[in-house]
Amino acid sequence: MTLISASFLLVEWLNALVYEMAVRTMLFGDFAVEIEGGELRATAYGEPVDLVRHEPAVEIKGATLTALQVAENPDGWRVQCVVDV
Amino acid sequence: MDVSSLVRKSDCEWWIPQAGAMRVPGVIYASEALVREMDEKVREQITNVAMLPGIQRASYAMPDAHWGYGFPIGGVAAFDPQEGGIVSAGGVGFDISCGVRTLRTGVTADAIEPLKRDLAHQLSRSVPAGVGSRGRIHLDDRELDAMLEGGARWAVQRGYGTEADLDRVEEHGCMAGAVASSVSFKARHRQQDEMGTLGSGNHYLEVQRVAEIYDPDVARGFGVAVDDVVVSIHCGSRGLGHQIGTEFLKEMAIAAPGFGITLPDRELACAPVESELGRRYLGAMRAGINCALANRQIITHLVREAFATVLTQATLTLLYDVSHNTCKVETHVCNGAAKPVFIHRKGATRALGPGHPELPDGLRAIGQPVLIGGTMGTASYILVGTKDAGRLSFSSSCHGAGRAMSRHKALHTWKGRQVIDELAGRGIIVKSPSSRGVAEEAPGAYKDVGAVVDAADAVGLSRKVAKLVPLVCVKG
Repeated sequence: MTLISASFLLVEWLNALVYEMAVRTMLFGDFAVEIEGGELRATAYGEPVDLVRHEPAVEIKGATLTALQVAENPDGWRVQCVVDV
Repeated sequence: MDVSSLVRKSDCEWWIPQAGAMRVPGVIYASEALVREMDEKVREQITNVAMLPGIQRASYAMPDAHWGYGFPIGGVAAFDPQEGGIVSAGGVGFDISCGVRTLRTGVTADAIEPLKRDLAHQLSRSVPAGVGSRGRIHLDDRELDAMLEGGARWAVQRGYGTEADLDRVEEHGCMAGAVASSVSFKARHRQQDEMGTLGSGNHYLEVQRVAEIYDPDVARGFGVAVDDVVVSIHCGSRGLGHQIGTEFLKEMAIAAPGFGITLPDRELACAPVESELGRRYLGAMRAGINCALANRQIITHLVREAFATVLTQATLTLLYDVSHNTCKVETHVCNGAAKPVFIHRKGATRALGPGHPELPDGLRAIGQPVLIGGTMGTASYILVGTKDAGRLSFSSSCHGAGRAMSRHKALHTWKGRQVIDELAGRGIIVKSPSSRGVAEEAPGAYKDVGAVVDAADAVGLSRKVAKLVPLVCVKG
């Protein structure tokens, strides 16, 4: 997988989460992710939004391509994505 | 922004000379102080937009321009399909047709004062706001199709508002050329239960007092006078628009090289207007515009219901409804000849001058109301479109204050409760499900909206008519 396709995969993954958060009215806090051959499979664990306890301030509209980065360095992987709120 | 590389044409007009891959120059309309406050990234983004195929005249930035995704927020650019012109999902943005509508109430501030608390309570109960809020309306697939192609007209047909409202909405309430079948399952799914909801972030519903009139003749024509109470609604196309933006941004970013388009920034994702992808986006984006128009129309109905329970003497009539994030086909003079062009306004307001055929009878002689949203602690403004704006900015003006501080920094500077108490001390009631959201939206986190409208007025993008100050604010 090239780094460009890896960065689009990151955007796709975040947008999948944004969509699931929106239609399920849930927040996710734990993730099991596997990437193989350019395909990402994951299970997200979370709970329904509780306005008092979570105090969510803004809905995320979507992941942007601004300053998008997926890079491997000696300490591991560094990924970066700006989301629009 | 460092002004030394800009060419100053007048007090509030600065040019970025055409160079390198730029097809046209860049033009910034702002005072020196506002330009100096702008991030260097704004110049880079104006320059990048100037490189896109088919761009006409110049890549423009309004006085409230700030660093956006691809296009600057406050960016205006027009493209001619006959010259390979493009349509850009990044140039419209995620919150398609986010906008402001202002309603006159027919009552004055002294009538509201003793009932302000009741009114705030009733409005916050009637209009769902905040993260995860759901509306009272559930749309099945058929109704979603009708809404996406009918806009505010659909809402009025379903009993939300009156025929008279429609004349006071851009496109007379219904954006032509919307194609519901170009809107994905996911986008539709996100919207099923979100009609008639405000959303979160910078979206709001405010009851405001007219504090000052700058142009008495135009104010009379708009039906507003000092101490009148008006209601302003700021929101957009909710989850549906966000999902359309998300999906086409990616598709266009990947497809652009295949069209021979070199993107200086991937976020400028675009396709030729005359391509299957370009046409499909236009159909979906126009459906997104209708969704926003329908949403603000339904909220108007909910606001009228809330007022009716508290203040029976109030009659809410629509002054106007403007959209900020759009791409529209309009006729403008480019290189000496009038022709249709695809105008992208990203965080910019269409501002039609007097005599424009698009305006309804009651406004044609005066010009279009240009509604500028401020913060919950400062002011909002009503301006009027000018004929000059056609030549200056494809009939466009600023749209709001623009953030001066990140949400993160605002959250560490203020507490929600403290902001609410401070504003209460000044007679402003804030209702919000999220005190964190209130802190992030603290008035101090925004630029001076007064300086922004002064610059728009000075250069002639639109003229100041009235200043509005908040009495009640319902925040998402």
